[in-house]
Amino acid sequence: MSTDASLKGAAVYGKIFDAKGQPLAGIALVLQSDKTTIEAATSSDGSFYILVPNPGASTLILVSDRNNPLSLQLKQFDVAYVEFMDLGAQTPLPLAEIRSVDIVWGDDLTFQVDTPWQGARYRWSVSGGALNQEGDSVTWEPPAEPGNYLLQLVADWGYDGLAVDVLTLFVTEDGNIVIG
Amino acid sequence: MATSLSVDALVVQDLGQQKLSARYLVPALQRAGWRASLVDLNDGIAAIVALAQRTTPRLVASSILFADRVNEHLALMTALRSVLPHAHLTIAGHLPAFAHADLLDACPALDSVMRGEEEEIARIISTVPLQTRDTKPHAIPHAAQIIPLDDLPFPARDDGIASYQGYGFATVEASRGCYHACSFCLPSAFHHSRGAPYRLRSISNLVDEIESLYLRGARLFLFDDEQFLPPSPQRAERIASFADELERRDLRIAFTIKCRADDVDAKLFRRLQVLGLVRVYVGIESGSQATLDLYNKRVTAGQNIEALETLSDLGLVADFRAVMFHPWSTFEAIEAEIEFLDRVSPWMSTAFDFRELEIYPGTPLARRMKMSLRAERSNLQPTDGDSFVAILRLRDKRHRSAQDAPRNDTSTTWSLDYTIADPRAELLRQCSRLVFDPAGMYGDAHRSLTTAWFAQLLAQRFQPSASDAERARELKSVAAKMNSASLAVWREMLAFARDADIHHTNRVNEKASEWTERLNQETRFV
Repeated sequence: MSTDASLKGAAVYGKIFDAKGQPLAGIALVLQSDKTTIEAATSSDGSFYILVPNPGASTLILVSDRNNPLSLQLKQFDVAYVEFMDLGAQTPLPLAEIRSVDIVWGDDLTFQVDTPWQGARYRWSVSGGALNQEGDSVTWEPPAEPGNYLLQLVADWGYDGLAVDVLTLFVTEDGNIVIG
Repeated sequence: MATSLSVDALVVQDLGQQKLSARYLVPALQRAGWRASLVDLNDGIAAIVALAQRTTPRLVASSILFADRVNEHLALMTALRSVLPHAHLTIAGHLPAFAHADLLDACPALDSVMRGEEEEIARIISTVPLQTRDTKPHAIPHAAQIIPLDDLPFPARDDGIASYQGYGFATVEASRGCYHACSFCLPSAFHHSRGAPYRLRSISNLVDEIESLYLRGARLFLFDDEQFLPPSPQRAERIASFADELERRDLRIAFTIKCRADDVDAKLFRRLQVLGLVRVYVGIESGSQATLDLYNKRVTAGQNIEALETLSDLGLVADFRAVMFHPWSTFEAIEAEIEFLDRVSPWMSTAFDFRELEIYPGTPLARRMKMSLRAERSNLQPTDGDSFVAILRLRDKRHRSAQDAPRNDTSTTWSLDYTIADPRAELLRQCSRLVFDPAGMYGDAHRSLTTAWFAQLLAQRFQPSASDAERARELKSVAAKMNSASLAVWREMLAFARDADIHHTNRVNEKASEWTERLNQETRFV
């Protein structure tokens, strides 16, 4: 919001773009207040300019999108810049909500799932040794070879998203297991 | 952690972040005659409440550093209210300065939000009777007095000098604010709004503090300045003066700074390297010129590339955040970011840190969002004047009690929420959050490499050995492997977003988990 003391009232100007940022020409707008209704349309570069003789509480509406009015509180000499972007007919994306899941170390080498969200499909994997799955938990059979191994859990809620947790498993030279 | 009985004020902050605002507030209050103690937010709400019961302060000030822990601060205030019914409870910080109304609405336990710098707050508190909401709801003291930085007491270090890799270290500030005006920068917006965009301490005052910390064992100094280097021609003179003063006092230190790409000059940085500069955070942000212009960076993508090349040639470790996404991102802009990262990867000593832009109230980008229909569709209510708080909204309005504010809660946010209009860009953003999760394996590997670099750089500086060059090459090789692996995943993600059906849930999930698992495998044992 800026001001222009030479104005007789206030002004609202701006641009309208499509989802890719290209200007949209010929888009009709209406600025409504208690006293007046002012109509305007965008020019070839997507811009519009509305002079508001009686500033105050007003609403800027895209004629093609009356569900989303923009409220403006204009004072004398105010100049408001407004940008609209047409989102088009967007459908929601998968992974819309990233959730969380934790691997919980139970008894011995048994690992379980911990997450507050129900209904996931779980996929366990490990970079060495073998996994025996029972329900949502797994038991790890470590390999004989010492080294660092990665246990991974993917929880898949389908449309609601994914979550991944990992745990590092160490097999020491003397055959002990350290959970990282 | 304060332990003494009966104090006038407790000042709470996440001390793990090594920021100084609470450490400045404590001595400022003490100078005004208050018995004030520093408290670490990481001690936990229960411990802080117990401390408050023992010490019965009249004032508790919570200093908020970042948006992600705001809810914990508010939960703490709610819990404190039950044991300190008559104390004045307040919060302060750059974010609260702009989001004061929303914060007061969100937390009835609060008496006020302080909008100035810490020292102004201390002055106000010591001169104006503290009020509670019972007597004056929503009181928001706001002062405009700019205090010269040399007049400030040194930050409180009562909890001792922290140690890292066997070396004492401390955060210091040589300046406040910035003479640039990046459109996303909250500290810059804060200091500009107060009419004092950039202030410097004198070199003698700065080195006095460094010397006092040096005598207590500090060797590594982290300059937390938004802009460590003043503009030319003052710059050369100030660095020369800094060098003279360190030499005169025989202070052999290591230090890190933050700078911009257009600050990087081989001659200047060689000089800084001799003085002890070991690591540089460069405000690169983006390799796309359109995005740099949107951020009002006033640098070119070419300057960003040259800066990283120059720092690499000097043997200085540089890192930066690759801000891959912003509200106006397009698929093509993200492709350009990856091309840029591919181009600079030969000069990288560190792993790429993939981020998305957070938009804070009070910044020019918040104003831009406020005026977009998209913001309106997200239930953001534009308001007039300079009050940006109304555009701030919680992503999830679940009420949280004092007991259930987890440390890394990401379900609520106090930065401005947005969805990218280009669906391919939004999908890449969501995949990036999963694959490059800072709390996941990639984040762990990133932190491990950072730790290893600091160990090496400090050893090089204070105990140089013949194997330094080889060790540095090893670490650079690890960074190269991580960057190669992450860029390979990015290329697959881009190809998928360009060519595949991005609304096919099963296919998207299958690919996202595949990328995550593969990157975890490739970066697991850094």
